Amino acid sequence: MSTTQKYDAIIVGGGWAGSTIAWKLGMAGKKVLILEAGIPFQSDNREEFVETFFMATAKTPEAPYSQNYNAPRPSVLDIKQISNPPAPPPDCGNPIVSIDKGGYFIQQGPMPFGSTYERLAGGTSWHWLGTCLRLMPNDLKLYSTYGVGVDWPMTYDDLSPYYDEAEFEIGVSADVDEQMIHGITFSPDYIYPMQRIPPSVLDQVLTEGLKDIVIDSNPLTVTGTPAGRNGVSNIMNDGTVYNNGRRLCQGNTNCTPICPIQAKYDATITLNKALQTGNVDILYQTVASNILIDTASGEVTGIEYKQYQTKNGPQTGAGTATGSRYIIAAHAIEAAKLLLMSNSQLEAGIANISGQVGRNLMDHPVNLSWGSMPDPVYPFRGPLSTSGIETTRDGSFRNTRAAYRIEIGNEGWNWPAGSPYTQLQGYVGEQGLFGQDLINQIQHDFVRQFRLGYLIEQLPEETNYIVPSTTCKDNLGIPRPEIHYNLDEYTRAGFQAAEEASVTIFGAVNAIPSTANRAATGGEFTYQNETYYSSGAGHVMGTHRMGDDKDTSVTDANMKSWDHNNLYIVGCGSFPTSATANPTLTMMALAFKASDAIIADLNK
Amino acid sequence: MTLNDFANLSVVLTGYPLSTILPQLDTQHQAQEFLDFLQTPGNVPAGELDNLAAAWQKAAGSGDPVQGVKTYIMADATLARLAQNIIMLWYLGVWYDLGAPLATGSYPTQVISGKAYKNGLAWGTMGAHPMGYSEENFGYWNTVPPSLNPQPSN
Repeated sequence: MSTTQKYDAIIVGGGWAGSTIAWKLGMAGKKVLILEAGIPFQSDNREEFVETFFMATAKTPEAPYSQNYNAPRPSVLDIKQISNPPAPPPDCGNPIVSIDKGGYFIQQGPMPFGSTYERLAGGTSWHWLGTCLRLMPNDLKLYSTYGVGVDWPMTYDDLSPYYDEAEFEIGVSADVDEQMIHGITFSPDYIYPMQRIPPSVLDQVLTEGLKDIVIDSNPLTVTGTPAGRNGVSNIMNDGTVYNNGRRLCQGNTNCTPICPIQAKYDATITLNKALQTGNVDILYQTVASNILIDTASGEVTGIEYKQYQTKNGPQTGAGTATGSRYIIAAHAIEAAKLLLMSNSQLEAGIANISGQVGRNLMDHPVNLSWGSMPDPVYPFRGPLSTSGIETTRDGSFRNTRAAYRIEIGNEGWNWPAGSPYTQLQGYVGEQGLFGQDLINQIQHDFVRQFRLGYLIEQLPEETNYIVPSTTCKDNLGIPRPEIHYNLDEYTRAGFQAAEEASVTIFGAVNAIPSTANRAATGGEFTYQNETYYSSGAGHVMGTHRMGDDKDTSVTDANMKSWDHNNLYIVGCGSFPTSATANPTLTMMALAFKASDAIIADLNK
Repeated sequence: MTLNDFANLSVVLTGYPLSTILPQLDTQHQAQEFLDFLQTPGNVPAGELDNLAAAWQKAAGSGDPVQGVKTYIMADATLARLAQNIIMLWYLGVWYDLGAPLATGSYPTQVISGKAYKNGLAWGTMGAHPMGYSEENFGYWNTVPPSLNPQPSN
């Protein structure tokens, strides 16, 4: 079948960016069709997902969302060290077996790409942490300030009003005064929708313990992390009390993989609003497989798709969606994959005259650092993270090494060391503890656990890239992503700086570092004779970057393809550099920016 | 093994009182769920649960149940391994392969139920709640928990 209705816009992807643009276009009276690769969201999804999480033996970010072999997603359980040469993926001729055994990605190394995402309505917002940091002005001019990376085709001031819009739609809890770090400014009288989330006991201990510590001329000031979760409402400038109709955060300590009560924003909220405009249609279980163009004009003429009924069943339908504008909002890896595999008319793929599609793949490689405090800090209480250190995100050191931010974790050693499971296995199985002895051990050890996560900057590199696999396909016969990835000297030097900071921090608060086995994450590497361990942050960026120059970028600052006049490519793949802020808020701000451009374009 | 015997053994293994393990007003039937699981053929090798029940009778009759559990259960490799799994049932709601040692970094073979996960004693022991199941109010994390449950005895 083909769509018969004339749509103003076809959007590939009902996740964060796609839902935002669909809503804005729908509100402007534009007719929109969303092609969503994954399953629909329904009112009872959350309950079902939470139960699946409770029943999962490995409580990973993916645990609540079962694998869909017709729109597969990667899992952190599949991230392992890569052999040299890389081993071929197992059972590639049988997609279901192959994905179960070896994971969705075809990892070509030399290092494993450590981040994952979800493919269902609402996208990866189902398991995001909720961090809503703005970029710093220097983050958008890294090259002109520090001579590394590239500049963004916009300034902080260009982006600022879109941050306002995104923060309101998400419902961000934060304190304006506290966020004005390294040149971040706000519109006059700006107010976040809700007050900052109260700091955890651990946050307070670190605030006090680090107040006199300075690293690279930056004081280690602990600040509340702007959060897309519900706190106490502010009275907005129009006199209304902010109210998004959702519940206050109950501190389930489970933001990733799922907030059980939707106190944390997710994109199904905006997707639902988009559908309620009456102008937005959506096809679920509909996977875009090829982008068609008119070779004379270069304009996109349609998007071919494949459909299925069950997560492991056969293809049940196919068609071509047509509209006057096309928006690829499919996640940084999936969007690049779709552009590159659409090579029936253009050998290099769609939107790829620059050769940059799929390249410059970036993450915020995480250096985890964990240990025990001298006094109880009571982890496993509150949101997963309520505060961080942002002062370390900028400074003159960025001409030689990566910056980092420090996320303070409220979940003990859960991320780095599988707590409480792992330690209890040791107490009970190896030490033979039971009864009161076991209680005493838990009450001494667990209440002192804490961890820090250093989110380290990564520069755009052509040699970090994703291409569609020529050999391995998913259950619909669509290529799986083949990933080539490494950490350069700049980022490795950032790890070294982060570890040095960790020694200072642990010393300042008299904490004892844990000697737990760090190799489990799979991302170990050596730098200047020291071994470091990198984990994925889930922040996948750079694969269809914006720029001012069509020879070195995929889209302009409005996320319009340089090559195809009616094609927009949005999402974290648009980022020219990674900076250090969790990317979601900026991604949504960019989606609002693109929406304005698309609406203006349609109104021409 | 009777429910009462299983509950009384669980009191010694977990360190929690009978009012937690088998409350008089029992809305959760958690002990029953665990016992049913242990008695389901295939989950525990034939005869082992009977051996555990017999060993518990000796331990309970010894006058000092904690020392009795050490003597009659923990000193026997097979019974100790089963007892470890019973502790992990109560503390985290999970089951491990009885055929392998319970070692740091093992993965459970299954979670007994969502209820068993939510009733896991590990979380409350450290003043917290199961991840993904908080019954607290907004902002509770800003202050220390009122008390740890149960209080350490020393």
